[in-house]
Amino acid sequence: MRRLNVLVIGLLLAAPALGAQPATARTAVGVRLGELVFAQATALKPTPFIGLEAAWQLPWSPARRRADAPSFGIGVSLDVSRPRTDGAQFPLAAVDRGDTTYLYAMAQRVTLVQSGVQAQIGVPLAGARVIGYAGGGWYAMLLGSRASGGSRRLIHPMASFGLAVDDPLTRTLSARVQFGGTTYVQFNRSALDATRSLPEEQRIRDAAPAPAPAPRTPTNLQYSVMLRFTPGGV
Amino acid sequence: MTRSRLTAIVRACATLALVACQVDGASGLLTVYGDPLLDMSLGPASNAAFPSIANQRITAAAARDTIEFTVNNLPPVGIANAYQIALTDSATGNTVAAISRIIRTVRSRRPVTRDSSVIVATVDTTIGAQFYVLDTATTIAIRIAHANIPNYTHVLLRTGGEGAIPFLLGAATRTAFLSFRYKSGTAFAVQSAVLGTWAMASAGRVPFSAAATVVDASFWGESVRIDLRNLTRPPAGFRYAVWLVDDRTGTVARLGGLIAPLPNSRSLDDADVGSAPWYTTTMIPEARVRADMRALGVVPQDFTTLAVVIEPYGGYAPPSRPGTGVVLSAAMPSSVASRSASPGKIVGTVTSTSGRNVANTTVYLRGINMTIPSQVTTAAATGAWQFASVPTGVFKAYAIPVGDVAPRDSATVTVSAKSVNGKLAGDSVFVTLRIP
Repeated sequence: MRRLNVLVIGLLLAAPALGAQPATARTAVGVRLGELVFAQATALKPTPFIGLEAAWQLPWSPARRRADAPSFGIGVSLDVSRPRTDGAQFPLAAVDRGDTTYLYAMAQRVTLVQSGVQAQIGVPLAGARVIGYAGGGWYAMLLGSRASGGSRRLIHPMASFGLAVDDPLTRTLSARVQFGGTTYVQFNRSALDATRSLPEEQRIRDAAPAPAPAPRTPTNLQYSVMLRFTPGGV
Repeated sequence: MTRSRLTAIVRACATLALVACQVDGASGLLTVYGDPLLDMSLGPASNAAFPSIANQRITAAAARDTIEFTVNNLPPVGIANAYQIALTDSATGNTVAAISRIIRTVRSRRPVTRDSSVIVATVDTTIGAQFYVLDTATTIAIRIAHANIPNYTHVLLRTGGEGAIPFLLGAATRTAFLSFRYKSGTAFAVQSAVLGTWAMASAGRVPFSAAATVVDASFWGESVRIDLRNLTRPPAGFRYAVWLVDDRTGTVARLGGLIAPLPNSRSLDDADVGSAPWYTTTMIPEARVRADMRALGVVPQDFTTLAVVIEPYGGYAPPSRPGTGVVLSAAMPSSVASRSASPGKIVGTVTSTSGRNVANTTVYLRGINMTIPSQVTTAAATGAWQFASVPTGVFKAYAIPVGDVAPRDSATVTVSAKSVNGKLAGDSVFVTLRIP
C-alpha cells in the first residue's frame, strides 16, 4: 500500500512539469477525485477514488483548430481506490467462547486500480464542452493478505462509458464534472470473501438475509470532479 | 495561474487521496452480527417417564369379562381433550369404546416434620370410556367390564385429538398411543403394553423411542433455535412440543412445536400419522424449533430448564403443563441464567389466632405450581422462621402445627426482583401464618 501511495503522489507531483511542453501540443492531463458506487451485488461499499487522466485532443478538422469546434480525443486513465467489502453479503464467521458463539460479519479492504483507454467526443455548449466517452481497460483488485491468507491479485477486463462537462477556468486550466459507469467482466464476488480463514457460521443461515445474486458483469457508477491542465492553453 | 498554485492544488488533491485510502485498524473490519448464540447442552433427560401400562390382567373366569390395568405417566391434556379407552379386534378391525371404571389417583407430598414427608393421594372414581389428566403425578387404574371382551384382541388408549373412536379400523389405519394384546387366537394371555402407534397390520406399527440427534440448540437474542435430526415419530394423538420449566416454582411456558426443515416451515404437529415428504415411515429425519420469546412474553432467565416433550394434541388449546415424557432437556445456559436476580428472603412468624407465638411449627415452602415442597424449616420458640435463599417467583408457605399432619394455614408469597446497585436482587418478604 505504501508503494502505491508513493507512486500516486509521484505521478501527481510530476504533473506540473508537463507545462514545459510546446504550446502546440494538444495534450491535457488531469487529476480527479470522485466516488465509486458499486452495484450492490459486488459486495463492495461506495468509496472515494483518485485518478489521473491524460488526453490527446484532435479537432474534427485540422482547418478548424478552434476552441469552439467539436473535438475528438483519446484518453488514458488510472483510478485508484480502497473500497471495503460488505461483510453482510458473505457467510458469517462464528467464534466460540464457552457456551457463547459470537457471530461476525467479516469485511476486508481492497486496493482497486482501474486503468483504461477511452475515445472522447466533445461538443461546445455555452462556453463549456460536453464530452461523451467510452472505452475499455482493466480492473485490478489487490486483496488484503490478512483476510485472504496471502497476497492475491485479480485482474480482469472492464468497459467504461459516461458523460462529462468541461468548463474552462483559465486558458490552461479547466474543471470537468464527470458521470459514468464501469462494467466489470469476469467479476468473482466470492473471491472477496474474508471469512474463509475463520470458522464459517452454519447455524443461523435461515435467519440471516440472503445476499443479492452475484453477477459476472456488474455495472458500477462513478462520478468525479477533475482539474485539467492543458499546456499552452486551448 | 502560476506553477506554485498548480503545485499547491495537486498536493491538496494528493492529501485528500491519502485520506480516502485510509488503512483500517486491527479490528475495523470485524462487525458483530446480531446477538451471540447462547448454546444449550440439549440431551436425554435422566428423569423422563413416558406413558406406560402396568399390572394388566384379564379375569380367569370363563366369561373373560373384565380387564384391569394401571396407566402411569400420562401427560396432562388440553381443554376439551381426553384420553379414550377402546377395544379392537386386530383381525376384523371391529372397535368399540370401552366403558370402564376409572380410578384416578393424584399424589402430592408435604412434610410433617422437618425431616420427613407424607405422600398425599387424592382419589376419584368415574365411569366412562374416556378420562382426562391435569396433573403429571396422576395414576389411572382402569377396570373394563364388558361382556364382549372375548370378541376383541387388543386394548387401545387413544387421545381425543384423533377424533371419535371409529367402529371399524382400516387395515392401514394407524391409531392409539398405548396398546396391549390380551387375546391371541382363542387363547387369553395378556402381553406387554407398547408405547407407540398401533395398526392392525404389525408392519404399520411404530413403537416410540425417545431418541434424537441434536444439531443445534441455542438462544439467539429473543429467539430459541433448535435443529434436530432422526426423531422417532410420536405416538398417534401426540406431537412434539418445547417447554420452558422453572424447577423452583413449577412455572412453565410453552414455546411451540416442531416445524419442517428449510425451505419449508410447515408445522410438524401431524408427525404422528401424517404423510409428507419430510417423514419416513418411522422417522422425522429433520426438524426445527423456532420460537420468538418476545412474542410469547417469555423471559428465559425466569426458567431453569428447556424440555422437548411429547404431548397429546386435540381440544381447544395445548395442555397447560408438560408431562414427564421428556425426550430431550437442557439447563439454561449459564449466560442466560446469570441474568436472573439473586435470591431473596422470606421471613415470618407463626402465631395463634389470639396472637400468641407458636413454637416448633413445621413451615414449608412450595412453588405455586409444584406438588413437592422446595424448602422446609421449623419455627423457633418465638414463632419466627425464615427461608434465607429463595429465588424470585410465586410461592406458597404452609404451617403444620406440632403433632398435626396437615397444614392449618397457608399464604401466597411473591418474591419480586428489585435493582440494587445496578444488579437485580430478590426482595425480602415478611409473612405471618396463623394457626387456629
